[in-house]
Amino acid sequence: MARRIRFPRSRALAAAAILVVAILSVALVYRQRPPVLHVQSGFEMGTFVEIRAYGGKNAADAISRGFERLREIERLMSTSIPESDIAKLNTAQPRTPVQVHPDTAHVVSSAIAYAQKTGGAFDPTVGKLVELWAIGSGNETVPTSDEIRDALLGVGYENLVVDSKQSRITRLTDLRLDLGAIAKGYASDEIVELLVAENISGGVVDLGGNIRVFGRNPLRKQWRIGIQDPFRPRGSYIGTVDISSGAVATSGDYERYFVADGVRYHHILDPESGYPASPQLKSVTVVAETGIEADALSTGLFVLGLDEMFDFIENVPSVGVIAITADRRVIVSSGIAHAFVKASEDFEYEIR
Amino acid sequence: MRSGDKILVLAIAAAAVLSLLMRSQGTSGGAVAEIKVGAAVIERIDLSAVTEPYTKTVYTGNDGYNVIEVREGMIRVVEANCPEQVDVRQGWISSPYESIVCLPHRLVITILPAEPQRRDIDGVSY
Repeated sequence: MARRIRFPRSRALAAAAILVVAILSVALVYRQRPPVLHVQSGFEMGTFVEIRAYGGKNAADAISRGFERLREIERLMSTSIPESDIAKLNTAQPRTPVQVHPDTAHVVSSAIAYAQKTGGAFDPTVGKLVELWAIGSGNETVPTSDEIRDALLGVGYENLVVDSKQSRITRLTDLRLDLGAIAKGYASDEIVELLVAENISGGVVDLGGNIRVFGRNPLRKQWRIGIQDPFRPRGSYIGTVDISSGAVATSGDYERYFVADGVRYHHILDPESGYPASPQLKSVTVVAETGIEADALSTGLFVLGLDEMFDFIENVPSVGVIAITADRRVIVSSGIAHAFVKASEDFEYEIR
Repeated sequence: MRSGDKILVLAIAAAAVLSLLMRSQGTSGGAVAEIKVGAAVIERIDLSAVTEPYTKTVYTGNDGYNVIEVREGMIRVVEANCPEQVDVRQGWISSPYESIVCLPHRLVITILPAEPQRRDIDGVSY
């Protein structure tokens, strides 16, 4: 028979007390776990969308409304939905004002502003060019130079007039409007506004790689966003950028493209030449305060090319840029260099 | 039993109950791959329980299909009839939050983490 081990009574009491304290402190630590995460994903605006929200009593409900807002924006601004404002505008008689939703008028006038700022490198009036190349449709061919010349006829943001008060838009020429390089950014801002109004403490809106973050991140001090490695599969990143709030958007030549006679044609078209822009670039990532700015400028700066893009952002201190070249250089603008951490040895990194 | 022993027994019982409660709050087990088409979850596969590698075909509607290969701890799309083959080129995924997206077929494969709060980065801009 085993001998019963006897503790003096006082020791047993002390041990019990210590145990209770330990249990209580562990319980307390668990009580302070990060706020609950709510995630919802789906396919909207022709891309994979994920909304993540931390905290808030009705986070799931708020996210659902975010998705609803996304569909609303798509119904207004898609080129392929015949009832959309943009489709109505594109098929109306030129020089005839078309009544649109105030949201559409807002996005179009923002698009014109970014077109002005980038000297037309970003231009929402290249719809015919986008239709002609039809990159991503699956049956692409290289257009003839005559076809490209025709598609560029009447192109130019100066041929678009927005009456913001009356929410009316007029095309002065037979141009085709395409908000594909700005609508997602706008939508991400709208969703964030909605989530903040619902007292969500922090979150991430990811619209096909257009990323918008806000509020407090329970996982770390700031939000950490990876920058896609253009030479490797989706999800591999060359580095990360830490931001407390704002947007990160990337335009890359690897997203949509086709190859004909050994030549690669990507979907970021130069409104001036009518051909895919900046062959020396693989991608341009823009870090900005809003999604609409990051989205529009990632396209605009890609078209401007390496040197002009860094001239441009010298005058826009709130915007950061990470450009990746075909010869495997990563060029980070000095304004966000402190927030950038490299994650790949396959590139040469420089700050400009 | 002395009263000190009683306290000890009670404390141990409390500890046992609490630790059980905490276990059920956290999640346990290895990585699980979730396969979705659109909003519908087609399948959840416990990757740690896969002994023999196998493939299975997911039909995604409109004559679309993706052939998925599963091995212990990892999953990939090995073949699909989508135009760009982004999913096939991506290869194996195995880490929490990694995902494969086949946009034309609305297919998403995500590795669900064992510990939901652990996340190296908050997103990838592409």
